[in-house]
Amino acid sequence: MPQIIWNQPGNPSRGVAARLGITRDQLRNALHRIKADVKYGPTDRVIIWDDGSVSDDEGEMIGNVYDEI
Amino acid sequence: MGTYAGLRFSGDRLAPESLTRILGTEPRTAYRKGDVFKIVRGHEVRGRTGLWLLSSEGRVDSLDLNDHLDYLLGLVFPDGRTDKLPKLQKLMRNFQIEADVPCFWHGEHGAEPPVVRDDIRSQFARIPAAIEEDFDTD
Repeated sequence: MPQIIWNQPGNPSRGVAARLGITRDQLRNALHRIKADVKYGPTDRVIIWDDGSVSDDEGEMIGNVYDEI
Repeated sequence: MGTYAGLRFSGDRLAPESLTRILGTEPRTAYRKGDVFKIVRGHEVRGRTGLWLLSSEGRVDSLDLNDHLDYLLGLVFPDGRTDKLPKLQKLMRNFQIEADVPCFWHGEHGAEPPVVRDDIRSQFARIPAAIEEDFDTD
């Protein structure tokens, strides 16, 4: 089962990128794209899972980091 | 390290083809409220509202955010003309559509974030479209 590795507003830490095996730049870029597609802004909270999935604060899937790299 | 910007319209009654027609270019992402616009690992992602998003990413080769914003403004004010603006504003007014400009910039540790020129801010304010900054460094 995928596990949550980030569950806060703002930009995730370097450790989150490391868990996903990507650079922080790649992660930020992917998150910006995912958020932009659902009218989210940079401060809106998302949940990141260790399989790269990204869901909104209601748990609805809105993207996957690996699809945006 | 990189930068780009988007021009984004949203609203429950947004019909993407209307914006495509006025702006004369295909968006990166567009959907009506309730549409499935993406399938992620078997999960359908539905639009909670309608959305039309054009990104300068891949269309502008520059590390200067203002170049990306100039490109987006050129879609609304081609060659400095203002004839598209009233059409766009009428559409936004009639269908309760909002606009904003999500900006992405990621710099090296210690780098100074970009400064959006005042004339660019003024032009986007005419639409009106708020500039939203997503700036960060390593």
